[in-house]
Amino acid sequence: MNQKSINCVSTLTKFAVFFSVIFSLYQPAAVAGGTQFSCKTDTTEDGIIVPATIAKTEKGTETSIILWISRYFTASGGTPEARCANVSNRLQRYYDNGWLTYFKTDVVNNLGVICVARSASSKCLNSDVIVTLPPNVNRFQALDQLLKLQRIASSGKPLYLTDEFIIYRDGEALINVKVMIDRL
Amino acid sequence: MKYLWCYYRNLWLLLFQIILVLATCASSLSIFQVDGLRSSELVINSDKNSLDVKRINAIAEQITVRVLSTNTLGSGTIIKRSGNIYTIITSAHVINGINSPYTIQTPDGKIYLAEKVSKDNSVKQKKDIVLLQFFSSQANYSIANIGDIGKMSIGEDVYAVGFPLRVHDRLGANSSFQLNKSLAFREGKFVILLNKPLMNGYRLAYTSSVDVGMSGGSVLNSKGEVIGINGLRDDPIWDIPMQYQDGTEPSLSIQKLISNSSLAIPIEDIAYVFK
Repeated sequence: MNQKSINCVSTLTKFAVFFSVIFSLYQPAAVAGGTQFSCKTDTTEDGIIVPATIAKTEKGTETSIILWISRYFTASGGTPEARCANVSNRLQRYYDNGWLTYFKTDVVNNLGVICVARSASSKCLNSDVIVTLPPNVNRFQALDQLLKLQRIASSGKPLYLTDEFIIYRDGEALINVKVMIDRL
Repeated sequence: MKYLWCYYRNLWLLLFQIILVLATCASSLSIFQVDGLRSSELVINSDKNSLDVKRINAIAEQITVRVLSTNTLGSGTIIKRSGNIYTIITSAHVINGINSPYTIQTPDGKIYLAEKVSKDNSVKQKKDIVLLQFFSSQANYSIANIGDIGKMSIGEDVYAVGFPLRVHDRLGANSSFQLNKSLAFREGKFVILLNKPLMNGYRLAYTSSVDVGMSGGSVLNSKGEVIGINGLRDDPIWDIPMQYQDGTEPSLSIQKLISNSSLAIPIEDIAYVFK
């Protein structure tokens, strides 16, 4: 090979490298497949940072759906963090399958649940549960609150899954005096 | 001659770069699927009372306020004045669950303490509306003019107005309040006025993009008159079908129409607030 062809090949290689670098940098934004559910954090009204299930629409609007505060399920492995991750994944799966259309509430094992239903008239199946509610949370209010968040053009109030009167801070259980007083 | 293209490699590099940039731009342009309502019907506003868009924007800025508590809650529209008492209309869900005190930030940047109007029929009427009042003896704030939806045609220009929230928009005691330079003024088309109201009184559908924070702001017609109050965005989180207030569900074609539209409460349905 003469000098000129070596130059040529090296130029070609530079083009190839240049191309691939530029193409890998200029990835077109991933085609948004509708709403994305994820577990992030948010701040409660008391100023505590807790895990939160967030919904982000295709347009980019982010809404906090559920704030995970309750430690009721901790004994069975259901820490707020774990439940957040679990339910956020579940919501995504239901959404991607087109099942997030009819929401219902029911009682399973003495605990209120919110689930997806296949039609307006069908009952909840165990396999369709979105979230099991801690004992103190009124399931009808919870459902109502979830539905309200759907498209209001205001920040709205996420569903607070709390333990009545008790808040946890740094592993210590403190009495939420404000809640206690509010409910007197 | 064989290696001609090598000799001009700088030119080739430049050409490749240009092509790449153009290709990237083209691919990132979102080409909206243009549905019939957005593309068709070049409705020419031949009404000689139509205002220039800049004028409508100016009106929007004069009649729109921010509704605040500890945080920024949403927007509001000045609809009445009685002496030094101004009445603001906003969506009920803007202040729902938030305790007073509420404050209003007017177009000139001033902050006023506001209170809910006690004699308000909105709950009884099942409309997602609430009235607030504030007192000001110093300034002269503009009052919104009310428009007539009855004369509107599908595809006619409308403008959605309000203050979109930034993420984590919180006002603490030490924060400085911002002037309303960030008023959103969103052009769109009138889609439909449903025959009967959806839950909470929503009936007016339009294509303007409505973001979180714009609830309580107004929908204006081409004369700068208020025809509705924003409340629901055009991008639902999930696909729960909307229901009419009487419990029935709209037809599939209507569902499709309204699921991609922003929704407002028509001003004509809340005439009682002006009494």
